[in-house]
Amino acid sequence: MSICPEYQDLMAGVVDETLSPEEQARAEQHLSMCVRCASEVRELRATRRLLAALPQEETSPLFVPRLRERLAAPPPSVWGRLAAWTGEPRLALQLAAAGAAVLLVVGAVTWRHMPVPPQPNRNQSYATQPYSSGDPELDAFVQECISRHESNQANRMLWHDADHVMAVASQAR
Amino acid sequence: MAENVPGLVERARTGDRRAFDDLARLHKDRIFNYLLRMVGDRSEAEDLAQEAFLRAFRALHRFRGGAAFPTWLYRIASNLAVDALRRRRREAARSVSLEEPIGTDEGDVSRELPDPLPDPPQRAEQAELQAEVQRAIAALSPKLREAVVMFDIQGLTYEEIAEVTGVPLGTVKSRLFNARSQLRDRLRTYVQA
Repeated sequence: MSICPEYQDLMAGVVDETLSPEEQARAEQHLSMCVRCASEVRELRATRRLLAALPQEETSPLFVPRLRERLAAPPPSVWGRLAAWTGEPRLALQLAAAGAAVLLVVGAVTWRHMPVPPQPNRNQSYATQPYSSGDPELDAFVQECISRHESNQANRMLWHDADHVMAVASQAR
Repeated sequence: MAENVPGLVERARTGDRRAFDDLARLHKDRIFNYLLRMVGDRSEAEDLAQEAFLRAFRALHRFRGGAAFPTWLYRIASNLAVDALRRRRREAARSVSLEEPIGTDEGDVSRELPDPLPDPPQRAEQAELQAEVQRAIAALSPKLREAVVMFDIQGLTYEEIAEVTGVPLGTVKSRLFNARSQLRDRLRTYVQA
């Protein structure tokens, strides 16, 4: 981290935009004199803005009806809750064994009839909306970042090509 | 239209299902969005959001009204998110055959991009950036991830985050700072002047 250690709190406040006017003035004074902090703060603020520009996703339209249905259903059995809490039906059974043997038998029978929680489908797309926050300034900033990324990639390729040319040239000698 | 949340909470506490319905409608998207950015998967985020509201309903009698209702909801959602991520790590560690590094699984993003829109080149780059940002978020440890999702994406204050996560203000600030640095490192080509 290249932020001056004694200014870290203040610089964090600049990035988070949580400073009082006096603190802001002090921070700006330091930033006007310290190239490293200025560069770091610029990049961290840009990072923040990229996150802030992410679209706010919404639940599926069936969310409330589904919730209503579950609220109306009876609460799950003790074993169901235990297993859900631990994520391991086997552990729930072990806990039961610590109690009475009778409970263990009852637990085993109930566990077999418990519904298996659905495995999350990792392949399901999480992003349904374009990278657009609705704030034109923020959206323009996102575009700027994309252009910067492309020009950084292009530069990287130029350097790579230059290295390659140098390598070939030195071999030819 | 001003929604009287404390009024709705009071009514829901007496068992008024319609009032709880309204509370759910008011808060579901922000809780869902938080969970989505934490776990990176839509259907898991919806399941967790459902669970959060179920737990909230069952625990309403314990909600003293001291913390704001949204903050209290976030606390429930936060516990669920951290548990889900912990479970995922345990499962990843156990499945020797898959040989998946733990971090990658959490950062795995669907190859399914939205349908091409009229201006394909621009949309593709935006989609790629969005995926990069989500990958960068997913590479953070749960504690850092939570701080940055709450502050930068959900717009909670330091104080609210401290209340939700139960850590001191100073810890919230330093987690935020560390999270941003790590994110910046991964998104360097987009933010480096």
